[in-house]
Amino acid sequence: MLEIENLHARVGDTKILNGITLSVKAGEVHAVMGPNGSGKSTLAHLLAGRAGYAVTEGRILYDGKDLLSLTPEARAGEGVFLGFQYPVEIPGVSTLYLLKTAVNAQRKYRGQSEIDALDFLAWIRDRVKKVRMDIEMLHRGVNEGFSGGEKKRNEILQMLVLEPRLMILDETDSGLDIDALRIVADGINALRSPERAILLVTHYQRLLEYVQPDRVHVLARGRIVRSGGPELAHELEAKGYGWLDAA
Amino acid sequence: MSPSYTAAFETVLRESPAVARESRTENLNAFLKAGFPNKRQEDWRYTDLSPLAEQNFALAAPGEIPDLSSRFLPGTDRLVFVNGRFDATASDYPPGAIARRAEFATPVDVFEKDSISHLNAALALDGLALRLAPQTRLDRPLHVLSVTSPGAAPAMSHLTHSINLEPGAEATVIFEDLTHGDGTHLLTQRVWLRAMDHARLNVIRLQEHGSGVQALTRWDASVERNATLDWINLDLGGHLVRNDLVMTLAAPEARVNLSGVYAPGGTTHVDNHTRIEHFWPGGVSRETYRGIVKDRARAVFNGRIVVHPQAFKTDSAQHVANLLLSPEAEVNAKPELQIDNDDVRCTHGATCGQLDEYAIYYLRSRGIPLDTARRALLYSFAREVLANIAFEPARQRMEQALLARLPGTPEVLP
Ligand SMILES: Nc1ncnc2c1ncn2[C@@H]1O[C@H](COP(=O)(O)OP(=O)(O)OP(=O)(O)O)[C@@H](O)[C@H]1O
Ligand SMILES: [Mg+2]
Repeated sequence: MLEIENLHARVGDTKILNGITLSVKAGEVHAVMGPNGSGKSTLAHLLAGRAGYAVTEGRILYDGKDLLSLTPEARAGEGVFLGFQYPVEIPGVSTLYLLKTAVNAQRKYRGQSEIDALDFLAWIRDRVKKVRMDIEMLHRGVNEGFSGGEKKRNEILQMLVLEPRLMILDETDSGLDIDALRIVADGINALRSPERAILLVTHYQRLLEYVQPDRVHVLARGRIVRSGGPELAHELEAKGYGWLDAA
Repeated sequence: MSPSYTAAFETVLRESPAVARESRTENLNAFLKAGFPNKRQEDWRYTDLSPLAEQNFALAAPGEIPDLSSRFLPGTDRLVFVNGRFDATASDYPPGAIARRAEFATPVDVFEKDSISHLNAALALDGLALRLAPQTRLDRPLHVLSVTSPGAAPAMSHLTHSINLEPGAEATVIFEDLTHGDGTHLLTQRVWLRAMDHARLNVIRLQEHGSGVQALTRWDASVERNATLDWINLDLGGHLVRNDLVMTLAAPEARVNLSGVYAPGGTTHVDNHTRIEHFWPGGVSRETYRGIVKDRARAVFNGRIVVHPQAFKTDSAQHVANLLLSPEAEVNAKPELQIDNDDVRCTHGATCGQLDEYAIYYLRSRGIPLDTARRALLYSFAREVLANIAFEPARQRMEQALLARLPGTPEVLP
């Protein structure tokens, strides 16, 4: 489903990604771990289409298509979703507006008609319940005045509403209390299916106990320096990243 | 000075009652003596009116206008002026509190200071004259439509409005200024507002002039004990637009909420000079402006707040934010606080920037097209002000008018 081949990227003169190769098949969950500043969010944003990066080598194929040539909105239309490490506050644009506009824009992209207003509301209600948010919050500006944990739950809500096929979750588990972590994990598991793939960027083993990964990768200085099964995450939790310097 | 101003004055004298003759003459002379303001005057640094002196503006004849019914606001009474003159066919209001200036044979005020006010006092023949008795309220909001209809030759028109709310009275008045045609026109308006003790006055203004109109409007408000003035303005059109506001908290515990959006495009020049004067203790003022400036348009904002020595416990906040949508667009925004005692709470801030690229990216990453994302952000930026319009039909009209002028596909409504 997703093929990242020898990806090199920089911002200005700073090289950030130095040859990432990663293959994720439909139905799989991959975890990406690694020290601060190793390039995890950069990779996530490159997948979602943020401007400002220069890809100097390599490519990304999604369903065999050249992902890097698509606009962010087209990628979303193709089923790509990024849960932001730092969700943006947008005062004045309500979450409800965002969701409705996004759903309809994606439907239009796929050649479907607009969703019926009542169906949409029912759809939202159901999902709001799943992430235990108050429906009133959807009338507020996107993430406006939300706590850190509420912002992350809002990311999961958007994911549940949009039902993407490739989910990239950038530290959606950071800063959550135990209950919220559970909600986020349940949200991810609810969408786990043979047609979908998930890329979890995380610093902690905790989330991986709820969402079992098929593969775990360690990113350091813009490269994948190790890959392994779920046991690799345990090992990192125990040993930290000190061994990287020796390696 | 072009002789056209004196020629217009002769016409006005013939039409106006004898009692007003003397004060009109005084005002004309004062105007001729002072001339139009120019850039050497501090308050006019960015807006040069001196070219107006050499233009030949004839006093506008009653113009031909198309059917206005699409502009009517449901649930309102209506007073319509075309080229500075009353239009009886399009107007519709009950007799009583609502009246016209031309119905009263009173001399025009003479305590004017600036030269445009003198010009207006010399030449204005009509306008709204609303007076509400104590503890009464306007049943329906009043819609004052002022249409300019420029012809082939440059013309001018002038209106003077007054709203007097006696103690405890309440009113909502919507001023809507629009243009039919592209010719050159000069429109001056003078608006007097008074809210006596415990009165509540709600003023909404939408300005959508054509690209040939120079619109100069001066507002003077006196807000008295425990009275509230809510004033919201949306400036969208015009060639050169200048709003001068002097809002006076003229008794203790008065409250003024002043806000506006300007969204000029093309080569429009829009200048808002506001002044809030706190003379008495316990006054509260809030001022919020939002600017969206595109193309080669230019916006000027100067917000002065004066807290006089005896105005203890004044609570005042001012905030101005601007978005520049093109490299040729320009904004000059300047808050000016003058505080003459220590026992006050004043905050202010002015910002100028571009749309938040990260927020646009966030919306796009959810599948929302770039165009829609930008419009949603611009709209929400302005809506911080427009959302405060309590009268729903007016709010909708203004939000739609703004949306129609934002860059991008017009059909999208957040
Ligand atoms: N726009 C930018 N300009 C300059 N440097 C950047 C830019 N974006 C990212 N970087 C740098 O690239 C490196 C990787 O950043 P990135 O955010 O991808 O790290 P990360 O692995 O997500 O870190 P964390 O675990 O702290 O979230 C960092 O050193 C960062 O400072
Ligand atoms: Mg990161």
